[in-house]
This record gives sequence, C-alpha cells and structure tokens, in this order.
Amino acid sequence: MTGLTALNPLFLSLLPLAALPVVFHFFFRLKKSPRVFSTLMFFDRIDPKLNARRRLREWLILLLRTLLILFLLLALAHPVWFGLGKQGTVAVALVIDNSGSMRGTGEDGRTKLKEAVDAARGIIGQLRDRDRAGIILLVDDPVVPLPAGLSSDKSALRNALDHIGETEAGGSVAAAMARAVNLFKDSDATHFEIHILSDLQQEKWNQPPVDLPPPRAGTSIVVHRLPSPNLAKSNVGITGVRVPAKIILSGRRLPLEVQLASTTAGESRVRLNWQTDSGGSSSDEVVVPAHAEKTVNLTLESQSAGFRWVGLKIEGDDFDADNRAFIGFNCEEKKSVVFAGKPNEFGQLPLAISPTGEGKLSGLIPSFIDAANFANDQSAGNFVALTWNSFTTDSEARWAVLKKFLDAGGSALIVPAAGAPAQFGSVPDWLASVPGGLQSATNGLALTVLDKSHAMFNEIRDETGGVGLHNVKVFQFFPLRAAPAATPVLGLEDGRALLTEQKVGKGHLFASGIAFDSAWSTLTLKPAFIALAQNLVLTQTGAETNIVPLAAGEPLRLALPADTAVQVQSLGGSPLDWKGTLSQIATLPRAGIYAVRSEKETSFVAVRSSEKEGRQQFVSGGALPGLGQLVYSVKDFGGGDALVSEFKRLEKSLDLSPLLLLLALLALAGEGWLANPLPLKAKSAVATKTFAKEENAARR
Amino acid sequence: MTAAYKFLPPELADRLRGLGVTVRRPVEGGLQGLHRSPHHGASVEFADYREYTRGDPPNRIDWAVYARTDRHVIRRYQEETNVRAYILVDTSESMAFRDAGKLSKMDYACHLAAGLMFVLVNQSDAAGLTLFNDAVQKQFPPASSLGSLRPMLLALEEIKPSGRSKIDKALHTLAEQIQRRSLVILISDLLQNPADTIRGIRHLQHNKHEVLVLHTLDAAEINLNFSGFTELRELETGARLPVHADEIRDAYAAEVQKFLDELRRGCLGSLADYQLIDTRTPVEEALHAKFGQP
Repeated sequence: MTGLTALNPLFLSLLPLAALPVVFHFFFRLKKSPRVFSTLMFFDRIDPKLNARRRLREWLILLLRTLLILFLLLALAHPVWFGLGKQGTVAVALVIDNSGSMRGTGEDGRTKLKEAVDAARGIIGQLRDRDRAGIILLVDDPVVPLPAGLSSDKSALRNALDHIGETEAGGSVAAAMARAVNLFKDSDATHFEIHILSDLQQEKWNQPPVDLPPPRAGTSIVVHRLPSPNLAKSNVGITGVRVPAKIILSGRRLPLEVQLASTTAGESRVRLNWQTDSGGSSSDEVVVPAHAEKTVNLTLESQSAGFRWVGLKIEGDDFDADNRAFIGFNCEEKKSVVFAGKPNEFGQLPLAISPTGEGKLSGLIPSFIDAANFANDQSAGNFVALTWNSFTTDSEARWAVLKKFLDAGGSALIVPAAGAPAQFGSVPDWLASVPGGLQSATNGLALTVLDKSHAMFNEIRDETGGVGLHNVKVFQFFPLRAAPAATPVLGLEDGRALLTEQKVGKGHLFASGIAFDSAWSTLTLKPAFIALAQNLVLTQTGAETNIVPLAAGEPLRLALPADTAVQVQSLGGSPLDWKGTLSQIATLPRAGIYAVRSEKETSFVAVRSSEKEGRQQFVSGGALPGLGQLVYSVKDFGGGDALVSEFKRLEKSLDLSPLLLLLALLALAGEGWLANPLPLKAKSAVATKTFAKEENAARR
Repeated sequence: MTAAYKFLPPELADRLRGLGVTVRRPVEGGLQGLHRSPHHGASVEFADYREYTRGDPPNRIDWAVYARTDRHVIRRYQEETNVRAYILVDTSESMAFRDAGKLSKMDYACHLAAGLMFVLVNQSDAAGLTLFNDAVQKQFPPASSLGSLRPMLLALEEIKPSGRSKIDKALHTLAEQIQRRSLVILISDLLQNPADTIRGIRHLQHNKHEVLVLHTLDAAEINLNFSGFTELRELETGARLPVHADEIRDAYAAEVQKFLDELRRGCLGSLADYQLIDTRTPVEEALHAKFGQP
C-alpha cells in the first residue's frame, strides 16, 4: 500500500464519468428555442457583454460540474494517505495461510508457514497496550488455541502462533476473510488492518467468494505474498482410496484401490507404503507419468472383525502435504448362508459360496436346513437361499415369514430347484418377479447382463465397464415377469429377465428363473461364477455406514446436531484429542483416522490429505479473485522486518475523503449559484446619465 | 373607393369619418382650409391690429377704433388654410415583427397611414406618403382627393419590410425637401438610438413643421413574454443572442421603459407630438384616442 491509497478503488475506475458534463454539453446540450426578435439593442443596453458573460458562466458551470463529479468519486474512493496524520488505536487481524501448500520451502529454506508465523510474531511484538490483534487461520485447526476475537494479550497471541503447525488441508479464503472482517465489528479502534500472509496458491485464491461481508470503512487489507521459489520437481498425491462396496468379512483378503496423481511435469517414481491398524504393513514402488493419474490395486491380508483402518503414505517425492491418506471400514465376522432345502437343489451355488465349506477363503459358511423349518431357523443368518418349490405347501405362511425376514434387513435368493420338477404355489402381491412356465432351449440361449452397474459385477468388470461374463448358454429357464419394483440383473438377449433384485423393507430379495446348475446353464462353469455367487451374498447396495471419508479441510459432515458435544480422537495418523461441540470443529486439517464420539454414537472420519495442495500454481499479479470486491493491495513479502515497518507506517493515516466531500459541496454550491443567477438589473444610473447628456447636447 | 384597399377597408373608413386632424402650429397650405396659416388674410378669425399704411385698402380701417383712439388701424384676420401632411412609414425589417399583436408592426403602421390619409383628405387636407428604411425608398406628393390616394394605398400594400432603419436620415432628407410648413407624421418602431431620432425631429421642428410621432410597438417588445433559455435572432441584422429570459426580464423591461422615456422627453423637448401605440390596440381605436374629440 503506497502513501496515497484509495480504499475503494472501484470508484477510481469511474473517474472518466467526470467528463459527462462535457459530453452532455457538446452532444446533448439543451436545445435553445430559436426566436425571431425585432431588436437586440435593449439587451446590449443591459449589458454589452451579456453573451460573453453567459459563455463564461456556462464554462464555469461546466467546470464546476466536472469538479463536482470528480471530487465526489474521489471521496467515494476513500483516499487515505498512510504515513501522515493522526495515530490512533489499531485493530489488526493476522490471516495466516496454514494450508498444505504452505509446507513448501521459502527463500531461506524454512517452510513458508514458518516465515509467515515469524512475521506475525513480529507484528504482535509491535502492538501497544491499546492495540488489539486477532489471528485467523485459513484452515481451522483444533490444536491451535486461538484467542476469541481481538485480544491485547500478547502472550496468548504468541502462544497461538507457537501452536500453528503445517496442515495437509485446503483452506477457505472466503471463510477466513469473513472471520477477519467480523473481528472488527464491535471494535472501537481508529485503524483497522488485515494482514494476510499467504503463498497465494491459485487453487484457493482464484475461487470467487460467496457472500463476503463488507469490511468496516477504512479497513486496510494488505496481502503479503510469500514467494515459492523452490517448487517440487516431482510430486505425487493420493487423490482417493476405495474399498469394495460390499460387506467386508474377516478371513477374506481385502482389495484396495488407491488413486494417485502427479502434478509435476516429469515422471515421478515413488514408494507407496501402507499400514493397517493391526500393524501389518507393506509398500510398493509406483511410477506415475507426468500430469497423469494412476490407480494402484493393493490387497490387504485378512482382517479380524471390527472397525479397521489403513493408512497410506507416499515417499520419494518433493512435496509431502498431499502424501497421506487413511481409509476405514467395518470388518464383519464370517457370515452364515442358510440354504433352506437339500444341498442338491441349489446346484453348484453352495460350493461357489464356500469352496472349503467352512468359510476359510470366502468368509461365508453355508448351512442347510429343511425348507419347512425356515420359519424357525431363519435367524441363523442374514442370507437365506430358498427354492420356488419351498412355497408349494403352506405357501401363504411361508411367504409371510420371508417377508418378515426381509423387512428386518435380511437378504434372500429364490431359485428353481435343480434336479427336481419345478413347482410354484401362489405368489404374494409384494413379490415383484413372478416366474412363468418352464422353457427349454436345446442349443442354449445366450445369457446377458441386464444391469451392468450392479455391485454384484464389481469384481468381474473390466476397465471399459463391461462385465466379463461371455458365452454363457441357458438351456432351460423360467422367464420372470418383473414388475417395476424389481430390477432385472441377468436375462436373455431378448430382454426376458432371469435374475432380478427387489428391495423389500430393509432387505433384498433376488429372484432367479434358472437354477445354478450346469444342466440349466453354463454359468456355473465360468470362473466368474464364484465371484458372482459370493457378491450376491455380500452385496449391500445402499447400506448405511458410520464411516465418513473426507479430504483434509473439507467440512465435517456428520448426521449429528451442531450443538452435540463430541470428543474427537485420532486413532491413526496425526494425533488429536479434542472435546467440544460439533459446531466448533469445522474441519480436520490433517490426514488420519478419527473417532467422533458423542453420547449416543461413534462415527469415524477417514481423512486424506488434500491433493489440491500439491498444485504448484500461484497468483503472480495483484488481482485476487478470492477477495472478491474487497479493497486490498498485494505486496511481495520482504521478511518480517519489512512487514513490521509496513504495519507501523499504516498506524498513521490521513483520511482525505472529508476534504474531498467538502470540495464537492463547494463545487455544488458554486454550480447552484451560477446556474440560478439573480435577475439582472438595468444600469439605470448610467443610462439616465447618458440620456441626459444626449438630451443636453441635442438642446444645444 | 375603399373597397379595393387592404389597409383601408370600408368598415375602417366608416369609423374614421368623424375624426379630424388638427395642428398646433400654423401651416402653409395651398387652399382654404381648417388650419391656421402663418399669413393674414380674409377670414372670420380676428388676429390683431396694425397701423394703417399707405396702400392698404381703406375699407379695412377699423372705424370704431379710430372713433375711440383717433388712430387709423387696420384689423387683421388669421388666414385659414389646408394642411399638407407628409406621412413617413418605416419599412425596415424590424417592422415585420409580430408576437403579441394580431398584426405585424408593418401592417399596423400601414393601417395607421391609410387611416390618416383618409382622415386628412376627408377634411380637405392633402396627404403625402414617404416610405423609408435606411434611406427614403418611395415618395408620393401630397394629394387632396380620395381618388389620388390610390397610388399611395397600393404602395402600402406592396411593402415588404427589409433593411435596417435610419430614421434620422429620412427625417433630415424630408426636412430639406419640404418647403412649406407642413405636418409630418412619423410612423415607426423607432428602434435606433433615440438621440438620433430626436435630432431628425428637431430638424423638422426647426423648419417650422408640425411633427407627430406615432411609435408603434408590439407588446412583446415592451415586456418579454417568453421564458427559459432562448436564442434570439435580430430581424434586421440576423445577429443571435442566447438569453435566459427569466434572468433578464426585469432588466429588459426597465431598459425599454428608459428608451420610451427618452423618446417621450425628446419629443416633448422638440415640441413634437408623441404617441406610443401598442399593436394590440385596434387601429381605429388608436386613431380615435389620438384624434377624437376630448
């Protein structure tokens, strides 16, 4: 901010409007109504210079109108001469960018954040007793004990600065500026200053703000740009981690998908390390091409039941604020699958679900009960396989039992009985898929996938989204008449459904028109059948979870009221143990796995570092879209001493707007006086004298 | 006779029949008339006595005076003659102005001139016509019959106001031309330096002529009847002047009043008869007001 600064420079851009009176004078001037008159001698007698005077007055009015607009616009631009004038009490807001990008090293080898904090410490040291200061962080950090509002307690302010640490989050410029502006709301200081210390990463500062409150009049906003001379030569960030969207069972290996992205121009060779909560760890070397994304598939060893998490970290690149990620998941005990009928009625399905029969590899343990006993034994597991034949006797009661089971959240599969004549009893109204008559095809009909997006096919889907289920022939089948409530999953090429899914209550019902037996189709002969059969049991579309994945700095979205008292503890990653209400902890700024405990429930938040912080583009000019309409100046950070001297200079200021307003008023008054002149009076004395002289001469 | 003339319609002529133009100073006419002559002669109007001198007809001696005073005196009688009137009509372009009145000043002046010629001829006087602007343009010698007024009346109809007015020049010219004591009637808006006008009138007065000034003005010239910002264009010169009427109205009215006062006092000082006529006043009314019976 130079000596003379306009606090509302927008009005300076309107200065050309001062030429409007001249434009109007020449192009839109009031048309004089022309009038023929017998003589102008009387006007000349009133004042021989009447026309000249009028012209002079017109130009003066024009000049005064121009000056009026000029002074008014200048006054509205609110010019202030810093370094002159009176020295009052100062309220200063120090906005410190503690986002991930500030972990980059500055000119002197320290991190940019460290430079910013030290400079802020210098300003705090300059505060006089009457001065007040507040610290605003671009990224909310629950570990920093910020004083509430403005404070003159230097030790509290210094303590807050001491606790400011590097984060892995992207911050919100708008939110920080809103907090900074609101700091001055009730302040009685005479000068208001906002000093922003940031590297001005484009990712944050080029985002136009929404509903930024206007600052108090006379607030000086100075942005100190911390230079970023040491840009990372190679940088790979973790942009996402995915676990399969199905029930995760203990005893099964867990595949993980890790998305990586390179933000640098060269190829990056990094090492991806991961560690489970149980201490298991491993690593893999990954090569990510320049400015490209890459998906890495990991397989975790089988986990024990309960809430589990995995931490991932990249090593080997030049920027580490985007290198960590945590993912959490619930691991369930081995799951029992109840077959209500004889084993041979279900074809190869039991074998596909559990090859060893005890759930060693699949985590699924099959058990068989008499179909007639389903009503008593259905609590044995939450997945039940039944045959259509089961409902031939006492069908109404059995359908009712199945409905109750599904409503409670269970899942069921109804298939034709293999090796037995198909029999159907009456079907209830709620059943959306009803089998028709048995049809045969000696040469087989092609089985096709009708819903490629179904989670059942997740593990057999290729990169193009196609499902690897080719050349499957169906020899006999019951085509299903599917109502809209049922989603056809598998079927024939002519669109007839052979496997449908229907949501009933909290549970799911799969209805099949083919038995999973080689006599019915070649599906059971395909390797993909095992994954298909197991996913049929484990798929839980739309299942609720208490694990919230977030990028660091993203708003903490939990299904709890804002005033809920919570305790946030880190289970892995950055340490944190924080208590308060949910509204007080807006974000989690560092990667980790956090448990958010309230009286009623515990939620888990898996936080990964924000990959945006690794983008190495910084605002170089003086325009910051992130500050919207605020009036500010951008200065290159010249060290803590320069910042302190700037702060001291800004303490003195001379507001020129009252003077300009006064000048505008004077111009207005002058214009009014000239534009509305008093009526002219005849020069009676002179005229009479002239007349008398002439008369005397004539008489002589 | 009057039916064919634009400026002397029959109705105007009818209304003017009862009017009579009188002169205060003796005039020299060619015929017996109603006006005093500077010469003594046969009439019923007694003038004065003078001593009898040889050569006087003895029948003019007043024997009654001789009986009382023993002196021979002769009784003298005022000669009465007709008047030769010269009507001067200003035809400068400023006379074309019309605003508040129904007629332009030119038309109004023509009506006045025609009416006066009719009145004069009707009372056995002679009326001539002189048209001028910056110089004398046309002159018609005095005629004493209605029939001989025809060229003058037609000339009035042909007037197209033009040029700038130099009233004093016309007056000086006329003063040099007229040999006998006459009545000079000046009809003009007199829009020039009043002193110059007065000098012309004095020249006529000095030559023993009776001068009557009929000053015709439009009411809008006396008081500005428009408002706002207006650009005025002078008729005679085409000069332009933007004015704020509201700003200048009072000063203008005062200046005009001063101008009229100057003229009135100048005429008074020159023993000329001055009459300001507003063109809104009907012509016959204006003439009645000036020449009607008191």
